[in-house]
Amino acid sequence: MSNRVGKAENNGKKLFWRLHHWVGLYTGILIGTLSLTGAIAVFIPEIDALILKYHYDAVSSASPTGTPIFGKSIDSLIHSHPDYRSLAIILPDNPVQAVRVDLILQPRDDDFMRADFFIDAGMDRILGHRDHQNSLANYLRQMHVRLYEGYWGRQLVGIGGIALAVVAITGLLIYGNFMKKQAWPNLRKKVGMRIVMADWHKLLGISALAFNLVIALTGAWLGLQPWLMRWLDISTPNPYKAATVMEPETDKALAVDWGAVLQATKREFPELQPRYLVPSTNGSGTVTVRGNVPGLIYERDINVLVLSKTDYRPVFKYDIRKQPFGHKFYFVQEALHFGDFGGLLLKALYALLGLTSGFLSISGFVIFLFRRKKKHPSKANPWKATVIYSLLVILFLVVIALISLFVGYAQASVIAGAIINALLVCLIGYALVRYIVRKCRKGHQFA
Amino acid sequence: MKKTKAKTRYHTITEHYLVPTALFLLNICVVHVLYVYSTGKWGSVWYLVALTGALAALGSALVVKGRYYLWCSIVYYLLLLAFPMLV
Repeated sequence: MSNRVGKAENNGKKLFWRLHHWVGLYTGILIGTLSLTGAIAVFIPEIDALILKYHYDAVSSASPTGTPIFGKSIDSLIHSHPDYRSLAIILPDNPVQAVRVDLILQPRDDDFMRADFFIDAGMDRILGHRDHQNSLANYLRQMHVRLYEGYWGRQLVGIGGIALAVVAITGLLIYGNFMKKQAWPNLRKKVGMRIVMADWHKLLGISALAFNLVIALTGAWLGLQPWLMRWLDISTPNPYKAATVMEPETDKALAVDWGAVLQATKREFPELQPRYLVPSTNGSGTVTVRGNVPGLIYERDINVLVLSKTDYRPVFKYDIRKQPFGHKFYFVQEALHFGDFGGLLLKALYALLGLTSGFLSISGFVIFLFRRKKKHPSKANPWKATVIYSLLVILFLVVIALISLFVGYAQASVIAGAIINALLVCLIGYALVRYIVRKCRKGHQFA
Repeated sequence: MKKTKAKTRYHTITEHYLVPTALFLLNICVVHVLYVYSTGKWGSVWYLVALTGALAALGSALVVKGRYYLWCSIVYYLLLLAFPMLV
């Protein structure tokens, strides 16, 4: 009886090991790429702030009233771009940073253009602008969120999250088997490279397991969100849309006193730190104020206050603290994934721990290559293959970054999409052919 | 002599279960402590002291790897996590 239990347990462990091995091998390159881009992506606001300060000289002087002033600059922007589609004013976290205006324009041809304008919130003057799509901040976000693949890149990243969760859980389940005589955190000395890498793989894998599991599960949800919400019939929390009460052109022409908007926000929602101010253009005659309540672990700018454009009275308020558990659970995912709820030190920790999954991908691949070499001796150098694959990933990231920054987002997206889909087809094709050949060989052996 | 010493030092339950659990909780505890310190969301100074103590306890338990010390630090941090829900 105990023998049978032992055998079943052994079979279970073998299954977990196989899952860990094959899922890790086929998705390792994806996990490694996401680990690297994710470690940089946690610092997007800080990187963007430095670029604005040093490249665009977009710095705010001290405001005489203590609150940012930007009304005249907004009027001037609207006057010079009367056919704009939408406008969002993004207030900075730090008063020395410039106020940013995200303006979506509707030029003569069909293709719309999105530009960021920078305003000195002390002097109320426009400092400069840039193409939003071609910015480095947009590149870093889009590369991590959808690998620059516009069609189903986001879902591919979600699959990467599932794969990381599978390798993390199976790794934990087989951990004991591989640590029969070894104590954590001992590394064996005077042994081959395969053993050294295996020891580091186990040490870092188990040490950062909880973090990687959280990143994997939240990443899987964020990536597969559009599909999962459709399949499971989940609606977006807070789908509020103000009723249309006037003609869109009349709405656009209504002047907004931004100082009054900020005052009304302070009065109606005192804890809210306003970050996004969006005047309506659809005829609802409102200004939407989005922002954060300090110290909460939720997605950025999820709290909402909608004010009337005419008398600045509240039309709608969404305070995440007063919402049901489902809403809170929905909005906690992104904050947990990007770690922007505990200052710069927490972001640094996120980046450091995030890089462990990249190291685990590389070390896992090295172990696989050394093990294969041991079974089937050849002249191939496992390190050479690992370095080549790693350099190819870095080359891909750099080339797409350069195209996106200096040529255009659309072109970079087309090239990235072609490369990723071609690689995916090759990988799936290779896996299928390999499986069929093995099955045929086994069949012949039995025959 | 050396072999016997190595055998007595290796404890399967500690290595296979307690150390992974303590590491799992240590991941959460580090993020928890950084969050609390950076946002000032600790409610009372005692909770902050207790939380910092939990981080120190989990970290040192992993260094010392005493069976009971690991158990105690794990239970202590779990209780600390549950405390806001119980109060």
